[in-house]
Amino acid sequence: MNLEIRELIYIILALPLVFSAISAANFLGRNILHWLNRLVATGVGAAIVMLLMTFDAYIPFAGQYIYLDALSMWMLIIIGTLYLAFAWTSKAYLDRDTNKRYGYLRRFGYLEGRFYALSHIFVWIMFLVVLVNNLGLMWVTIEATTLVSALLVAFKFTRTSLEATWKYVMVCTVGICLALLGTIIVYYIQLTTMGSDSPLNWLYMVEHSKNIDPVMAKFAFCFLFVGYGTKIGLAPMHAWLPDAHSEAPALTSGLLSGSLCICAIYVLIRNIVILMPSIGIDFISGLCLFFGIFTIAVAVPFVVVQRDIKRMLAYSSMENFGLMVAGLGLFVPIAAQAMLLHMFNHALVKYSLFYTAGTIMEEYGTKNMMRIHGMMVQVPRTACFLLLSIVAILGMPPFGVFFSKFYMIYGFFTAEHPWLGVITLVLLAGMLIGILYHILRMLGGQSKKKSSGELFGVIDSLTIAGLLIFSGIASAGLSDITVLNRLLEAAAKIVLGGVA
Amino acid sequence: MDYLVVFLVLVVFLQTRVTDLKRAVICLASQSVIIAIACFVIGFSHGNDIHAVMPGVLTIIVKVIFIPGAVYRLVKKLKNEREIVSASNVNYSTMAAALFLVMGYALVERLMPGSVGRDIVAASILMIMTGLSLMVLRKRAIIQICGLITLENGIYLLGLLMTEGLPLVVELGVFLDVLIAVVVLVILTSRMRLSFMTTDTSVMKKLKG
Amino acid sequence: MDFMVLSLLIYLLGAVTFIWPKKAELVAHYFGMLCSIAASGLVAFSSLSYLLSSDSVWLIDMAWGQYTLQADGWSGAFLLITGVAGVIISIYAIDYGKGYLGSRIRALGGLWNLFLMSIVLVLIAGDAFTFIIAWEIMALVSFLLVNHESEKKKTVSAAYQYMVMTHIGTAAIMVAFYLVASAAESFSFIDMANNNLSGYMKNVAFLFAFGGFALKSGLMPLHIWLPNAHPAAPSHVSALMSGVMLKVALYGFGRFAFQFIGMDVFWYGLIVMVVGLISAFLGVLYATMEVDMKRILAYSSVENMGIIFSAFGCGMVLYSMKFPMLSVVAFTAALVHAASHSLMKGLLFMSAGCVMHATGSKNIEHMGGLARKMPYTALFTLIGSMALSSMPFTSGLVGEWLTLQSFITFAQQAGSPELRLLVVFAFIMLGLTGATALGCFVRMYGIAFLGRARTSIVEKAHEMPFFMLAGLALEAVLIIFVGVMPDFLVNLMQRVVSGSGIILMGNPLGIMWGGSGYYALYSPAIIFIVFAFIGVFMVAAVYRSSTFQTKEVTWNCGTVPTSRQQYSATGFSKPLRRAFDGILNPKRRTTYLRKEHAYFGRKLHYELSIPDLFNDKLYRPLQQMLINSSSSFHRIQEGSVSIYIGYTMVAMIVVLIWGVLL
Repeated sequence: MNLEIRELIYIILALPLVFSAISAANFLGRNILHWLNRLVATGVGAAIVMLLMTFDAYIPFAGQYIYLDALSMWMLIIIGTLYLAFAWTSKAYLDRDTNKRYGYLRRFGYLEGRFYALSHIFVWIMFLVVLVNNLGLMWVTIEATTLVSALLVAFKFTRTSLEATWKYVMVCTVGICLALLGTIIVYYIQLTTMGSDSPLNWLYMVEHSKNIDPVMAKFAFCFLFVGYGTKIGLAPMHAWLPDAHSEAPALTSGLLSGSLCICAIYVLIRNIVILMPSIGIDFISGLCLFFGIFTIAVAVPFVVVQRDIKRMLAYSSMENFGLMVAGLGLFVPIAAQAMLLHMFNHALVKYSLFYTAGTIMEEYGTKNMMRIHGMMVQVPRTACFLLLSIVAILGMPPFGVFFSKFYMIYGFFTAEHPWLGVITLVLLAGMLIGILYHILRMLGGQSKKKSSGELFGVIDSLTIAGLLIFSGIASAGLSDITVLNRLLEAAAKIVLGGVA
Repeated sequence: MDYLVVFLVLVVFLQTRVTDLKRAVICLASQSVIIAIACFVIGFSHGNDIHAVMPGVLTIIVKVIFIPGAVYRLVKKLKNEREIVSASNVNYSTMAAALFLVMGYALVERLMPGSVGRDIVAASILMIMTGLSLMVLRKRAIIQICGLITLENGIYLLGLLMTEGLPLVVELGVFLDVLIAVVVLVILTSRMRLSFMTTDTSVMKKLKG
Repeated sequence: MDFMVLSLLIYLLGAVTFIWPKKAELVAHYFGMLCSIAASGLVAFSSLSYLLSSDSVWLIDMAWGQYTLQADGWSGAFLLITGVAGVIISIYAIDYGKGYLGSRIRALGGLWNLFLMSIVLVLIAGDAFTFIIAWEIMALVSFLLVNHESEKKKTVSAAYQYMVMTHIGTAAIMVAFYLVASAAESFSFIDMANNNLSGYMKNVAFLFAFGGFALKSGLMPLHIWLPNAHPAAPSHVSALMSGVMLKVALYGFGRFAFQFIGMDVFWYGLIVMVVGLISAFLGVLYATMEVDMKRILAYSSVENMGIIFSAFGCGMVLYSMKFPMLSVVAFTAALVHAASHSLMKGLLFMSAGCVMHATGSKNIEHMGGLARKMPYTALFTLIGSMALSSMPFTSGLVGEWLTLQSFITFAQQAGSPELRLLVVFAFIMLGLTGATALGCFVRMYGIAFLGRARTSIVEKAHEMPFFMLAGLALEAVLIIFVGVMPDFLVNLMQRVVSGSGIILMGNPLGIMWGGSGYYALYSPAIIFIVFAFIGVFMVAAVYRSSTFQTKEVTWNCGTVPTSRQQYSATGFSKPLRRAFDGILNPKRRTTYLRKEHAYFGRKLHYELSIPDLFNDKLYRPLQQMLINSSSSFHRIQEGSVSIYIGYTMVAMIVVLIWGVLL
């Protein structure tokens, strides 16, 4: 079977949409639904792999509305991997949702279909974000992800999830409106300097970005940065993030943290590439570094004193987003590559962490870490996955995050910001101090509370292990996996300005 | 055009004064009507094709008919709920709006002295800032939604003025997003009414730290 | 393929025990231990070839990805230490590990192999990236091993402390490597040697590197994890951690100092030396105060690492004063003492494991008279204790003698009076350390193994199974061997640091050294002859005057002495505690429980605790500060959505102002 890039992209975009329509119509049996879900995701995954094989990292593909270059391909891989993981863990997650307290899904048969429909359309919109060629459409799709994921966050309509969703929608929409303003200014710049053909087309704008008015560009960048920064979860616009991540169903939290926020980073990168030649690196770099490191600094105290396991993970995500934005602000090739790799690793590891956290919530019936002890004895498999994923997210080898963090912080030193690197390392150590304390207390000791037994099944164990191993292997052996390596290099070139 | 600006400013100030939810929605609708007229005015001044009519028509469909309609249906369910806040909050929002109006004019004078659309730019800045102040200062969910739409309207108006309308696809997307946003917010508010027995957002302070 | 790579693969094979079927746990354990013995043997064997070659050897021809493996004499020395310790402790663990049947013994075996593998990897890393990976894996695996008995709360907190501290240390080391690597624009050790780091950044890099490696080797203000982690870990793990892992830190620091930073700056060595001396003395002082056997040994590790680092620092100072030949003796001292400390501490931790195995307790106050119950263990422990208090005929003396020699050399070359004063300080510290160490191990051995049983736990004590004793015996034999014929080890280590030039003459009779205008000789043979003479005379004298001999119970005011009236461990260390009251700050609490009788006799409860100085004054306040400031930080997120939107606005305004200003 020899498919063109265009056809493959159509497949990627069509399958989730069709499936979500089917599951929203809700006429399939539960088992068929689960299997169809897996089938669709696997199909999309296969299409992405085939796309990766046929696609040359240095030859972007441009359609009328679609644009695919190395950067979007890289994002496609991340989202696709999470999509696969989602599909292969969803059945276990939904089936075990029979606990008395959290057994919301079981009470209404149609909810599974709704959940699938929303989740798949959510992933579909994220695919769109990275595939569209137009800055305006990117804005539209980012806003759409907010709205769809809002319904997912509020899926159980409990009091706390309603509250979280309200904050999520309000804060994010305000932020996104600022980004709209920024986008409008960018369009204004385009109108005044390049005329009105191919409006807001990214490729066209990059090619003509030399003669942009720097004052207006700076103005636009301020709005775009704060706007998309809200969506990324940069402090001080982050307040929605821990709420939304902690109240969403575990699978959604994984998707939110793993792929949604980096989609926002992706769009920010696209905008930066256009505005960079006229604004100059200094301003952008300063903003990114300041807000990135500030985000990590804000996340640390909330991790150190924390009771809710998912909130803790959310703050850990914030730390990682901060690191990514700071890495973006360094503007050296090694940091740019490491940042992209970090997106990948963080997504995979954070998904497995959120999934494990969801499992723990089911097993112990609580999110409060102070009330969970002795997991090592009671639920050894969950404990094992929790330990491994935590160790992975804290940046220890042989897991993937280590490699990306290592090179990202090396970037600080090559970019002549050694003391910022030291500060970042200190903050990361603070993160470890907080997270490890809670996790070790959960794992060890004697438990007072009975757990409802080991809930990790076979398929989800394999999926989670696969995520961890894939992230480890892909990062450790990156220089020997030619396809990925080449892709990453090309993507980093795009991040640093230029069309591959 | 000048009349439009006057009406717009009037409506926005009115909006800061209302506490009754139904009236707030009506204010919102009339504000959108003015925006739609502005759309037509600006559109026809630049050309006669579909792109000139499109924003106005869309504004009427989405922002004049659909959104206020949806919110109004919700408000009808929330019987005898008023915004029970002290008058000081209302006064603050009005004062803030006045401040924003002055600020808007000052900004416009500084940034683009002597430009044609001076008043309307100032009005859109007023709308953006007032929308935000409604969201920050007021506690009712409905009023916050109104604030959000006001903010959106302001940005839209500003964009229209600067760029004579976004590209068509983007324009459609923006309207779709606003539509979905309101639908989501209406769903959330009605759920809020069910589980909290009120639509006062100040009760939602459980998630912290 | 090199043997070293083969050994790595065997270690990996040993890690298969992770996924061994649960029914055959014991087989998994045996398999894991066999793998680690075989691989460690290979490591020890092939390390000799690196020791004897003067160049560095590439272990894999073509670099795989960004990873390179390489070994030279400096790593060879430590590979030898690792290999020997690995073999012996694994033999011991064959029987010791059986105590963990049913409690994750498979994980224990697998982690054990991974631990050894990561240590070997650190030693043969050819670039900073591989080094840091291996270093982090080593930290992670040892953390998991410390955390093995995670049912106990104490273990968990010890493991947590260990991980936090070691992570901070790793971060510091990473900063140092980053600084050098970014100046050299490469991670490869060979390129990093030719860095063009400016003076200021060089100082920063040195300080970070020293801080990081000092933390891992447990030097004084940063030792805090060590006395907690060692008791918490299974005994063979603590033996390996103390015997080998601490030395790996010396390896890293040595590589950094020799290869990347250079030793031209005078005060580098001075700092190392002074910190080493202070931790040597304070370490042994705290060791003398402890009653937990493993904590005693852990603090003693602090002491010995202090001695090793002070010798190393002395070498750096001599080198910076342009006496490269003379500095050889100091570096040799550091290496020899590292090797012999690895033997001694391995032995003693293993025997502490034996005692725990036999009595189920680590507290020496509860023991006494163990020598009768477990004579072989007692004998080997005696040898280890003698070595640690640097008695003749043991390896301990060799290292300390060389250290002393290096200080003397320093004194000879010291130009200014201030430096001489410093050397005097060094002598005093070293002397105090040696004397206190002697007291410390007399106390430990005497209280635990001699006298009468203090509690009933001693009654059920028994001699150890074969492999545990075999491990102890092997270490003891090596200690005696090095002590009696030091020339072998000294010559080997000297080659490492000096290349070809030989300054210490070693022959089977002893070591002779004439570096600084006078001659010094350490000859076990001569000492033996002298001792033999004295012994013969004394025996002769005793025999001549032996007229009568009676055996009586000790007079005890007419009552029969009970075992509670023996010299207790706490009592033994009382004079020292008095003398160093100002440093130790012991917390005493006496409670009168109740009157047992109206007229005489009252029940007393006496509590004595000696909090660690740095723990009390530095770490606890830091921890409190962190928690308090974090809690107060929570106020910025109180749940109101209006405020959150307000934050966004503030950020927007800040960014706009920033944009306008810049």
